[in-house]
Amino acid sequence: MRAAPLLFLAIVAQAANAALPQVASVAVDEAPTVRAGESVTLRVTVSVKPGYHVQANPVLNPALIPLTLTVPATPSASAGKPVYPQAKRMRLLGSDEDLVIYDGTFALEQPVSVSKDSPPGETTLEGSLRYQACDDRHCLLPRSLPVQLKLRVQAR
Amino acid sequence: MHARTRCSIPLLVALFSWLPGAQAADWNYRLGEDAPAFSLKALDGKVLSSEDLRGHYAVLSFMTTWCPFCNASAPHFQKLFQDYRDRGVRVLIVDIDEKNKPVKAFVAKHGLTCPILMDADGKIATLYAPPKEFIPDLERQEVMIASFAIIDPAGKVRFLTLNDKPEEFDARLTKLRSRLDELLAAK
Repeated sequence: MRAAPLLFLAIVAQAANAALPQVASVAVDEAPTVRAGESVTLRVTVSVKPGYHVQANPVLNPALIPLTLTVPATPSASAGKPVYPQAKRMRLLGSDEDLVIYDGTFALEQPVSVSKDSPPGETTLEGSLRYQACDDRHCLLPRSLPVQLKLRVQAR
Repeated sequence: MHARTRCSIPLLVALFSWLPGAQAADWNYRLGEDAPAFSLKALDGKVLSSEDLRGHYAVLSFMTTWCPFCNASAPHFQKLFQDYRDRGVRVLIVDIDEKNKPVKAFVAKHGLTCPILMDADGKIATLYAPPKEFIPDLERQEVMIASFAIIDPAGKVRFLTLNDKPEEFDARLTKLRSRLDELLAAK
């Protein structure tokens, strides 16, 4: 019963985030075939709306919100540490510090390991990509995008 | 085109220009209006209200700790606070919708000594925001992040910048200082 109010809040928070228009989109490689007990790397391609950029990962200023891909493990598979691309540098007029950002289309590399006991068939890891975008005048509230990593598991 | 249609078109244009949505581009940035009232708890726990600012010029910075524009302008805002303190100008930050911990880190990083008011649910920022028809793609809180306002001793808005014009953002707050100097000189 205690969990119910928390669950309600989580649903409301998710709905509120879902209501914010996105300025980025995500595409993932087609599901690769991998044997149980082996690993594979999936490419996660992010496209940022023209005119916007997102904070890179890592950021130079820890107060800023880096682009972050989070993929919880399942009994069948687990995600390793994502590899983020090299960032671009920019500096706002009058600022003392550089910003590191991504814009346009870029890709992350997401390693995934399939457990030895994973049954054959399709398996999906449900993740999310958090980002914080700005254009040349405004900064948007942080947003999240759902990311699905699909694999076709073969028996060992 | 039929004569009746030719006559109707200017009438329709006049009608639509009267509707609120169609006048969004002419928004007055609240200039001359009473500044929306507030009563907020500061980071140090003290409560400060808009009434406490009466009789002084006040400069408000609406910000969040994760906003790059806000980080860029923070040192310049601290300098503004120091430069105008002895001239009776009240300079303060309104932090939008954040917890104390990141704000304390932000204060430490930038060496801020001006009051930091915690607008915990973003309601005050939203009161200062333009109507939804103005910059409609953004949430009202988003429009206010990295904006600055000057309020006169009678509580009227004398300056409001939303970075909505091309290349308007300047971390050095040049326009803000210039306007503040004009207002102080005219006292």
